Amino acid sequence: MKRAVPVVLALMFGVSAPSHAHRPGTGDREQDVGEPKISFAFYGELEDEDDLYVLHLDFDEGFALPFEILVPRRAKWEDHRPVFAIVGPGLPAPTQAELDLLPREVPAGAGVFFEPNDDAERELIFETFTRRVFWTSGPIAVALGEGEHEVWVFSPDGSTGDFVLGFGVEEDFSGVGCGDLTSDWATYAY
Amino acid sequence: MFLRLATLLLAASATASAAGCDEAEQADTCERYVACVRAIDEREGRFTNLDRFDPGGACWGRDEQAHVCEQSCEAGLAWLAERIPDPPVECSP
Repeated sequence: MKRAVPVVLALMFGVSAPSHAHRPGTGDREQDVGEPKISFAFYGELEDEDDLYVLHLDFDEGFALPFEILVPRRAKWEDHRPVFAIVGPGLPAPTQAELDLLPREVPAGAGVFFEPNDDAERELIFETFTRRVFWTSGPIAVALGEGEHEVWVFSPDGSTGDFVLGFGVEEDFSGVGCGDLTSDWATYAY
Repeated sequence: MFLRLATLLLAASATASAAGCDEAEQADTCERYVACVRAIDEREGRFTNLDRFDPGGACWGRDEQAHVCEQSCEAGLAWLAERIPDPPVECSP
């Protein structure tokens, strides 16, 4: 009987655990995103004005999905405006203004989608997985061509701080164990 | 008695989790976004998987996700209208 209490609590937690969040990811400055068709949230920190994250996504067909970049709502990050650029096939040629801001050369034949994250008033959202409030650039659907893409996250104005890059809609946590979800919890929840 | 209480609590939790899971309908902005991308695809001779934005797609399972998709389609449509050379009439905002 006494042992039933923690079992019941564990079952309750399992039933009400968040089941509608992106797959979380952290890690190296440059990495491959396996299964880019499954929604993904990458947590990172821009530490200096030249910092850059590069995520590699490889699509086996043209694919349209929403992207957005978030900043945790903290006073010290009120002026933190990370941006992202998607570089790859199926996108239009970058403007000169975009080229001037990009941290790397755009490969020949590749186009660019650039999110400047420069709305005067950023929308606030409550993210149910981390249960935190974020400023968001606002989600935008981007149609990507078949093939390899890179997503560059950087800060043209040199601001530093945490960010979350989220993309996708479909969910699949079948390959993610509880250990994977919680191992970097200190990064997600702070 | 404890087992009955546990069963009640589990049922309540499951109901609470299920509440708010009514399927949303495809947003107008996404209907237009899909039409725009498909028109571009037809002109360019390519294919884009838009399943999630179509009726019955992954966008429309929960209100929260539906709202994100609706916003993303509106923004995506505006971007295409501005950046695609000679956009099809389906891409008019």
